[in-house]
Amino acid sequence: MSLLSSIGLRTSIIDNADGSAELSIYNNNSNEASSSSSSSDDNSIIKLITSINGPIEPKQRQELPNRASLEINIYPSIGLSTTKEKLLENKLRSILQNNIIINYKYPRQLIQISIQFLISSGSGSSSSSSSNYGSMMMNLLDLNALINCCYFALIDANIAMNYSFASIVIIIDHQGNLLIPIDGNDLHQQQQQEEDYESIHLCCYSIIAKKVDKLLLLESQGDFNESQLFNVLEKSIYKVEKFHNEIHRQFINDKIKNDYIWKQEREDE
Amino acid sequence: MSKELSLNQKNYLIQALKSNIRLSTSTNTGGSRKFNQFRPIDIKLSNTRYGSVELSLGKTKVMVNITSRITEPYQDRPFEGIMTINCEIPNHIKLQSNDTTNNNNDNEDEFINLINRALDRAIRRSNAVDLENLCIIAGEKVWELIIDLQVLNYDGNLIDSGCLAIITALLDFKKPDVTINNNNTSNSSSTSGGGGNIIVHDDEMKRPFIELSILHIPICLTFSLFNLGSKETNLKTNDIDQEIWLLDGDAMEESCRDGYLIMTMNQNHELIQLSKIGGGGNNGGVSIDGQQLINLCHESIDEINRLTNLVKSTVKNHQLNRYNNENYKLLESSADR
Repeated sequence: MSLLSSIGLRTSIIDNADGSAELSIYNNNSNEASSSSSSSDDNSIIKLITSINGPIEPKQRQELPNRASLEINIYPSIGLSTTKEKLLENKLRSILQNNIIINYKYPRQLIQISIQFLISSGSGSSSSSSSNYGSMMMNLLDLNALINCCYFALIDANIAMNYSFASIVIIIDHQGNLLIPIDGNDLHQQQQQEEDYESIHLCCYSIIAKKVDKLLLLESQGDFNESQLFNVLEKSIYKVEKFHNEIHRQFINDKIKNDYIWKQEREDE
Repeated sequence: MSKELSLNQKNYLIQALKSNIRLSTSTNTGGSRKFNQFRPIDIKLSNTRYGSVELSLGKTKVMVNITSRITEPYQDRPFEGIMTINCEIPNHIKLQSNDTTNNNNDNEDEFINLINRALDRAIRRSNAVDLENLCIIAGEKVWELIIDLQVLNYDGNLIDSGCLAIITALLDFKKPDVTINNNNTSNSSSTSGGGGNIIVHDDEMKRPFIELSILHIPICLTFSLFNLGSKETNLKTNDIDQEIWLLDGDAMEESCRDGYLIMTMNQNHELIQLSKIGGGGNNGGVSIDGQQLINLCHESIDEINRLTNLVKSTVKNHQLNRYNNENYKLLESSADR
């Protein structure tokens, strides 16, 4: 299964946080070639840690009378926070604030989300890419990674959620073909040929009972027409459902089994 | 955001220290730590990127990334490159504080400033890196090193772990080779005056990268000071037994300590930084004996040597592994003699 070999996941890695998750997205070819000789962590293209504290007591300026307030901080892997991190924060807030988190369960309380990028996409190359296409692609890949990582951190923190959610990135090249970087395509090659695509799209869906329910976020950059957009949406629904059913649910199933081992012993008595 | 300790916890810790027992265990042996013992240190270097280090000191975990780019130098220093240390502590790190009268925000800001200033003095101001070596064209183009220190998990002693991680990353980091193309001979109508164009060789297979010029290796040691008696006894008498110092305090010990001492030295027995804030007055802190301070400097040389050799051997072993894995032997021009 190529999907499982592309993503590394860990939760409950930070002691002081209520919930935390670490997501790594690997380069497929490099992982297979050098998996016997080097650590798997070093082949990551994107690696980030999300930690969630909450519900906790808010500051007075953050307090909302009948809803939970949300504080999101994103720390980049290179340099200090800039307007790019503020943009990512706003997009993540638009997903979580009113859609995912059940706000009225935590009135006058704060949910604090910190996202630290350890490896950003494009930070592997030492020369900085001044191309406009490259920075577009890097931003959406980072946004895709942090949305998926937030999902696992929210589950680890036991925050009440309306539905599950998952996001995916689809690239349209110059010939009109759809490329999905997570689906076994060589992402490293895409970085080197960053001029070789026409547009890039990020789709984030809510999922109820293993089925895609609503479109939460659609972020598209580049040149595309209406039929291409509908084609992207059609393909992404299938891919997101497959991604969620094969990776998300399986990982959460294993995690809950590990977290609640004591129940099994009690049932045996 | 701070996690407060109860009075029972604090009294329990103080009573254990009076009995020569530290509450935190050393993971290697399982027993109680000595007063001058570090927690186990685990250093991981990245196989694919230079200057990327993940360091664990017990449960404290930090990560350092070093990147380089070409920029203009400062006007007053045209022959020197630029080095910047960014240390950002995310807000999920809960700093413990037993001082409930202070505002939590002030505690955090003081803590972040303390770490930034200590690391800046230890590494940048002590000239650990030869900045003149980063100059490409004087007054026009120099290398800028950006060091990003990220705190992943906090269990005390961020200064020592941060300094160790940054030093390891600087020893591991390599920058691309640069060729200066003199513009006067090829193009007489140059718009940039007497300057030349530069070619950055960013493909490592064609031309190997160049290490930084490290002049010395500073190592930070942070001592947590405890006054077991009362404040009046500490000021009036010279009873050294009432003063206890701990090396590498964890989060609980750091929150209960009365003062701290940051000492930075290198393997050449040189004292680089000595920082002790407060002592006896209303500002907090604890007064310590002058002779005890000198004894601390002498006794710490063994620990400085151990940590320096640990850093050097880690980087050396990693470079040897990288050399073997990437088959750099095939690139050597000399025959196998």
